[in-house]
Amino acid sequence: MKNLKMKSARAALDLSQQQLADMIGVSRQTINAIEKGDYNPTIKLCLDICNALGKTLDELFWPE
Amino acid sequence: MTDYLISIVPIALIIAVILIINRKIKINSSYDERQLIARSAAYKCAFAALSIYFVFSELAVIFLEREWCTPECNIGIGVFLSLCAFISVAIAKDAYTPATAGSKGKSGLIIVLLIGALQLYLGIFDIVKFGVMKDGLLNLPVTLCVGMLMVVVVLTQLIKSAFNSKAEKDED
Repeated sequence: MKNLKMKSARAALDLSQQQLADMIGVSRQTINAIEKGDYNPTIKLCLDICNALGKTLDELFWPE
Repeated sequence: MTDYLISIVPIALIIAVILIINRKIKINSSYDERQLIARSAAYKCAFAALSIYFVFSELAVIFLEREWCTPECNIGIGVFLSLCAFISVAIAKDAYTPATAGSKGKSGLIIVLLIGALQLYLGIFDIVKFGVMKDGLLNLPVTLCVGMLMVVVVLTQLIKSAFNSKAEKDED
């Protein structure tokens, strides 16, 4: 399932996948895989993404 | 024996150059969690490739009722196939270079290409000079296997880079 909330939160901060990946210390492909729903990140990586995007876990990763 | 030494020296050289580059430009040579999972899948593929190769190799011996290649050639082909499987899967899953390597990995690719070309040259030179058969058994030079492996690395990386750049354009 695609993570559109994360993609829109990233776009709202005008960040590219590469920029977000550099902030967190992962590869661009990993960010891409999370947004496309091809990879389920660990809670640690979820928290890193939330911190980088200024969102909570619920806002980015809780399914509606 | 000399053949093996010729093959080991460039590999040691590559490792040394990569270590120096890592220190100079301070690449954080760690893989992220997705890459670690992808690499473990690649290791499994490499192990499967090696196992399947040796099964077929032994079956060939049973059917032919004699050896079909020299032991060093047999090991060389097995390791070559195994490494090809690992590298191909790791590159295909974007888990070949560390997460933060980015475009700096290109310089390493050029070094691999140059040393691969040198190994291929030495391998083809050996084939032309000594032939591929020794006492009726297949005897491919190890340099040829190493050279082909490096060519596989470069080709797979180039194909994957092309796909990745297309994906980046789509994202934009």
